[in-house]
Amino acid sequence: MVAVFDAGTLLPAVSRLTPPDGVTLHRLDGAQGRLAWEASLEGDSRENDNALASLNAAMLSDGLAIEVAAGVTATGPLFIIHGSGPERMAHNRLVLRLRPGSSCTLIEQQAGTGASAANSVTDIICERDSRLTYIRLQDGADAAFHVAMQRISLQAGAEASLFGIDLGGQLTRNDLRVSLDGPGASTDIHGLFFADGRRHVDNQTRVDHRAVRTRCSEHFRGIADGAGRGIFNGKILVHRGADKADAVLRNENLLLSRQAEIDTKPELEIYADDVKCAHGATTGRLDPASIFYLRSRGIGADEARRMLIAAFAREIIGQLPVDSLVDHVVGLLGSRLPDLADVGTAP
Amino acid sequence: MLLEVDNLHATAAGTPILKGLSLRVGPGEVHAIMGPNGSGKSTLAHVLAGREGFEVTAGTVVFRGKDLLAMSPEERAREGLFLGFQYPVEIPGVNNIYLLRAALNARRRHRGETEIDALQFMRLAREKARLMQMGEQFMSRGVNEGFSGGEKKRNEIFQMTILEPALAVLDETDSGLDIDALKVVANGVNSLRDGQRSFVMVTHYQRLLSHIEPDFVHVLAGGRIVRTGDRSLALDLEARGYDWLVAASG
Ligand SMILES: Nc1ncnc2c1ncn2[C@@H]1O[C@H](COP(=O)(O)OP(=O)(O)O)[C@@H](O)[C@H]1O
Ligand SMILES: [Mg+2]
Repeated sequence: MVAVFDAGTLLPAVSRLTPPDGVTLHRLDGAQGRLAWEASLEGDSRENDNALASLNAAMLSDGLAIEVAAGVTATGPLFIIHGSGPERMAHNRLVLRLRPGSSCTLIEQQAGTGASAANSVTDIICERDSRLTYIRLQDGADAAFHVAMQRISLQAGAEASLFGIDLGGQLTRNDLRVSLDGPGASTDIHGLFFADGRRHVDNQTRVDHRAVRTRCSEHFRGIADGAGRGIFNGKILVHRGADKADAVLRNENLLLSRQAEIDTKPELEIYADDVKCAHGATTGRLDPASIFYLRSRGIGADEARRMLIAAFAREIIGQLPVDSLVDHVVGLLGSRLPDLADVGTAP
Repeated sequence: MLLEVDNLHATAAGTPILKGLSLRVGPGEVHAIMGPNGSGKSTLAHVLAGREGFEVTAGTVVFRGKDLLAMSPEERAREGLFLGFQYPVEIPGVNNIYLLRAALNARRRHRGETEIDALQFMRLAREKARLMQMGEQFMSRGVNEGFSGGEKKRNEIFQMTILEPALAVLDETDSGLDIDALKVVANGVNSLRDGQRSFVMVTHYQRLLSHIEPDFVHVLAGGRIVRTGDRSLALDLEARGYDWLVAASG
């Protein structure tokens, strides 16, 4: 299934809207759109504490609610493309509900062209023992604005493997909120962002452990070049009663120029007992010994640096569950690397 | 001459390390360089390969008739120089085979040859991996990623057998190898000997030299070559250490 949106409006003509067996689609447009949206959330309380998410809700005019029936493994990924042309504003809305024991892969691509703006909200409810793979890939034009929020809740025994990859965009702000609501709920979060030129990428993540034996492993990597700026604020909250929680948060950043900057703030707040938690962040530059090793084999200096940058990114990208997607994303990053300003130069 | 090093002086972080080193290597020759720790053997290897951080303050190096010191590290490699590192770095995420194919093709382009395709390359890599007794899983890992010390050294020689350099400078490739691994490494080196290719082997042990017969043995001390001899010099050094030479050379 492929659903293509342009500036927030579904384009059925270029989409393939026949869902796989056991999957149903509801379009969130017209007079019934809001009702359908609220129904799809089933009163799941989504506190709109975020101005842009509230604006998104107010502007709701189109979108999709997808549901995977109990016990169903959806064949093939559900692929959503959010495009937007220059000078356009898109309010994208997506709801995915996985019924108990079901599983699916959702790929959401955000790609604004020119000076477009997108404000996307994605709500995902993983019911008991369901399995989700969610891949968000943002590869917008260098002038595009992207603001996005994903709210993902996991009930007992549900597992979610989440990817957030931001390669383009003038200004990108992404909020990922994962709530581990049921006992044994588990998530792996993989993030990668790249900011070069004068681009700005801001990732805010928050994981709430609200039940016993919940597990979270979060790994973000950032790369900044030119006068690019990256922000990573990752917060993990282990609430009272979420005993035996297991949480790991790692962030590693690579700076390729003197002016590039990445600010990182990994945070753990723990109010439960007998938990296993670790977090750490590092920021560094390309290793001169590795560059020399590659050059000593006949690899040109620029190519050596590109190889090392791709290798750094591959730690995240390589976790993608689809091999062709790994190559695709490595290629997308690679196509952005020739523009590297003063990559690898010692500070 | 394949390589002519004349009166080479080099500093690291302002400290003089090589102090008038001269060395001539002809086609097909095997040279062993021995010497106490800290005498400048790795510095010589790094200066030849063009590592940043060392400054050549005097002297010349001519490689195949060209000014080696004017070339970038990659140009030196493409001209046929290979450095086997004393401490090979681990580069997770850069695939061993991918690197080697890119390196071989860079060399071939430099020489105006056509690039090797993926299939031909895999055939070549498998053949050399067998020679070096390296399993396939070895080849597909990141460069030296998670390799033991001995595996890293074998990987250096594996790379060398694929790149087929005119001159290989092997910096303590034998250190830390058990007898079996040493034989594999020596096999790899000997497989490249064709009367044209030359080798400069930095080593502490004469046992390597019983597997790879050297034409010359040099002693490097205090940043200079203080004695040159034949194989018997290595045996003397093993029996008597370096002190008598270092003292004699003042
Ligand atoms: N990058 C460097 N900066 C400063 N001193 C160095 C550097 N590299 C080597 N040296 C010094 O140069 C001397 C020779 O080192 P090296 O060439 O590694 O010796 P060897 O390989 O013969 O044991 C040593 O005293 C060492 O401390
Ligand atoms: Mg050394």
